[in-house]
Amino acid sequence: MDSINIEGTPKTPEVSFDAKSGQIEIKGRSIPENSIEFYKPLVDWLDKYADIAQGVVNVVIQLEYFNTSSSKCILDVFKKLENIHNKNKIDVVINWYYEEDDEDMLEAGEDYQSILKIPFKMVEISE
Amino acid sequence: MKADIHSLYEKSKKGDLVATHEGDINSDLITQYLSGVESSLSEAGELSKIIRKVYNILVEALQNLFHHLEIPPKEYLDSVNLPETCRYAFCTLIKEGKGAYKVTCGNFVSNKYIQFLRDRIEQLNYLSAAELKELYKRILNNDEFSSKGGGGLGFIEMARMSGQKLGYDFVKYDESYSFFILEIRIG
Repeated sequence: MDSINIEGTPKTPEVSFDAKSGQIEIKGRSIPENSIEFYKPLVDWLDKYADIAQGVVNVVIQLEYFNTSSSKCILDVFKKLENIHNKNKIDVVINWYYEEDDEDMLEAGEDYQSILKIPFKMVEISE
Repeated sequence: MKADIHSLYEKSKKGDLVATHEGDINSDLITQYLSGVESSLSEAGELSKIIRKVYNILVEALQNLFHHLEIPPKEYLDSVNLPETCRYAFCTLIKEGKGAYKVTCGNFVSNKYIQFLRDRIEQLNYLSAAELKELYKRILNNDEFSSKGGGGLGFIEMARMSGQKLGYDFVKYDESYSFFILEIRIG
């Protein structure tokens, strides 16, 4: 299965989805006007990945900014990961990074954590 | 006499102006506006947590204009020499004090949407921070996107980030249109 590697732009994040290692990363800014267009290939990839995923899936979400339309798409990504966790009976851990003074980003991670039933690890980054 | 829209824009600029735009709203303009504000606030030595709040609110405010504004009546565009495809709106950012800012956006709306918008804003202004958070989570998880690609969360996010009541006004333009002013305060 091909991996996904997308470079970041001022409005869209850097993405790296690697089926072999099970490393899933979204980093940077996610503030596109049309977030569905950006996230649909990622969600589709996770659907296919569910057929072969094994071992441990390590997810890194390190966002500086995300808009509200991305927030729904990010939840879709998490729901696909939750499905992989339930269907394949494998460990999926979401590492949610936030800068030490960014309470809003920490709270956003906690909002997701309260909606989903997969393990979240809140990781503070020093500025 | 029709409402003087330009004077509403001029009024929104009074004070310590950080950023402003009047005219067409498109994706490139939004990128430019956001990057300009980020640089200005950073160069002025503003705290990163305040810059983030201002940035987040501006993203939602500008993209709300991008997705939902109505093309102004032709009569208005003619009167200010703008092409009839111009998606006219304005957005200003004023510094009101130490760590305190005000975002003002203005755009035309059809009179038939006024009640809906008014009810929506009043509802958010009535809710506590905890209630806003619960509402945000409920709508985040409802799997619905509007036909315009919005998730229905923009106003809630602006209210949450601001922590203050959203200010608004509708200035009647004619029988079909009004001009909608939205004010969001930070700090």
